[in-house]
Amino acid sequence: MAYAVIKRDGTYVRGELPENVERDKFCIMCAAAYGAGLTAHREYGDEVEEVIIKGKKHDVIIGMVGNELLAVIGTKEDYEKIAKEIRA
Amino acid sequence: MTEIKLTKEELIKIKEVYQGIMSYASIGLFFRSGEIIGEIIARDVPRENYFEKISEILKEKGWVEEVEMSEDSVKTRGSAEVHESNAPTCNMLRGIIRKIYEKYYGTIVNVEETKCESRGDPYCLFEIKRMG
Repeated sequence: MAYAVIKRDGTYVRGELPENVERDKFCIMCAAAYGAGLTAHREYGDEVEEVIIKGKKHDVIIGMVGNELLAVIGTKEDYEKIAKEIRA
Repeated sequence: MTEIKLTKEELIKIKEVYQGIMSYASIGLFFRSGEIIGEIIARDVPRENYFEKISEILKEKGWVEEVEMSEDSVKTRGSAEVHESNAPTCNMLRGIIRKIYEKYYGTIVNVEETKCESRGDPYCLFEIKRMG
């Protein structure tokens, strides 16, 4: 499991990402994916809760925690655990 | 080298498309695009009269109408990215400025746009902080 806390413009704030992940690129992609999800939901009058990018090995789950984005590479349970820690 | 001219109206409309799709992430993407442009602008500029030469290039390329560069801030008027908004809008210029100062100082810098003509300020102000 790995995670990053990201500003809404894609700037990395903190987290634990694998060394082989290009941090800045990963963060801006997550912010872009979340932004696109937000717009897609707005198109039919809904609000985005989380954006989930399904992978063969891992999922990337992106959601808002406070004023920042949380991107977790892992399971929904991992996401909830990290989100809870951040909110505490 | 071939140069493509883009009007301010075209630039703003393109930015609106990105913003309309990706929301806040577009700010980061434009900032990063600006960093690429800034790297190229600063690449061949010698250290002697660095800020004067950079100022001329920024005006010549149409990014700003007026610019005053100092060691820790940049004041501009007539940025190509200015349009009515309640938040600072000159994100490409912010990226350009970052790379210009990173080359000058040889370290990572943080650039914040603390005043912007887009939200009614008399000029745009970019504050530079050295991180290294």
